[in-house]
Amino acid sequence: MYKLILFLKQIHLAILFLAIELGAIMYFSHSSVYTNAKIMNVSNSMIGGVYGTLTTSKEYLDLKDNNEELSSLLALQLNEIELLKSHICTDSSIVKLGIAADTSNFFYMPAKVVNNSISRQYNYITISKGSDDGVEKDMAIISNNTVVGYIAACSNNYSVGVSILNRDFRSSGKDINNNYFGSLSWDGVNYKEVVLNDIPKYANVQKGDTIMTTSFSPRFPENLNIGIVTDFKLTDKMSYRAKIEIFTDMSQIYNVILVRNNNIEEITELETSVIDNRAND
Amino acid sequence: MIKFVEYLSIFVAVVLFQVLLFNNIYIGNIMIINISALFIIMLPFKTPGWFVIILSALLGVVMDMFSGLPAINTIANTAVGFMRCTLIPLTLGRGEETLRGVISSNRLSVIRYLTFIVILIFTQNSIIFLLEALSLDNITHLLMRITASSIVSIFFVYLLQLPLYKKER
Repeated sequence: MYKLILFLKQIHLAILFLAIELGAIMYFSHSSVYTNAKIMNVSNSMIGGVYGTLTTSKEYLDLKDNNEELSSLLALQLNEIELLKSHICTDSSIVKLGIAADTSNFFYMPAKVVNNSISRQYNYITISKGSDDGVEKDMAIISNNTVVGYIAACSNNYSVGVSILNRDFRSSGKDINNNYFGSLSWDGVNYKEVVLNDIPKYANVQKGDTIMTTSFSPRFPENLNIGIVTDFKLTDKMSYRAKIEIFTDMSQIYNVILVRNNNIEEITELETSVIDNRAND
Repeated sequence: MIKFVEYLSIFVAVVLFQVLLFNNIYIGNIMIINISALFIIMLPFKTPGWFVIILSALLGVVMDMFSGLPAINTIANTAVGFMRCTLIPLTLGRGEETLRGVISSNRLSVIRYLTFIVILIFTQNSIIFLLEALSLDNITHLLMRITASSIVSIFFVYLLQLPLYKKER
């Protein structure tokens, strides 16, 4: 018994080390993009004010008032466009002319970026608006009509978004020259480039082609800019993998627009019910 | 009590420097400056091993909370704490580990101090980047990130411990 205690005393550091590592590894293996965003929300509530002060100083140097005014104006105009669209769609004479009724219904809201990382494999953006301001999970984050990310978690005054430079980011993009689409993600290598996978091999992809969002994503409005094709290759003899240089300079984002798809719940519920039904069959 | 306040200040300063300054510096699309190991390195010689490991884990948890990384810093920093406990007797030689004070380039020779921090920081960065990537698809890029970030982190850790070096002298 004494020898056992002596032995345990000798290896107590290794036991402590292994116990902590085991707990941390278990947490790491069960983590998701949403749990990470929630953790960041806790820290934002503690030092959000510091981030806010730093951002304000940056904005002072970057013509703060002009940027904010422009963002508000842009959000206002986008909302007006959506309102006009709904009027046009209900006008029967226009529908008769063959213009399809646009059922999309997006709401736009300006916001400030208080913290943004680009150096990690899983980058997040902290926004200075939270659930008290009407921000909700899964709202799109855009800047100058380009994709930036989407909201993953909200506290009362802050929100954390999954950046396009996050390896868990998923969306779809289409080549506007041929309308073929693929799956958009980031490979974690270059903060100026994302990857469009699974473009059909018969698509005539060319360097310099512009990639935009599709209508498939419930988060992002259609035809938002993503970037241009800088390189592509056939991956499995079936599809192309294209490198896309993104239009947004992710290291210089201070003002963004949050976009809410008012139909997102309906779309998600419908899709989930179809998936559940198939699973039950 | 004074020591406790001193180390609490160092803990807070390291976290704030890392979160508010160094996490926002991304050099050449590849290098990240990571100075969090400085706190673990600067703990006094005579700190019990179990306490070093717990403090290292605590530092990791705080860093993870502010970085949104799922326990990656906790895993890396705990490993650094454990390695510190293992390396001190090997680096210092017999008898020297009973010395008072902290590990600095003044107390050890510069070469021995550098060897000590190179091993710790290289281990820390390797764990962080490997866990972040969880893939060896871009192994060249991964190795470049580990090496470049380690070099620049070692430089900053060495630079930041110099005031301590002067104080001890």
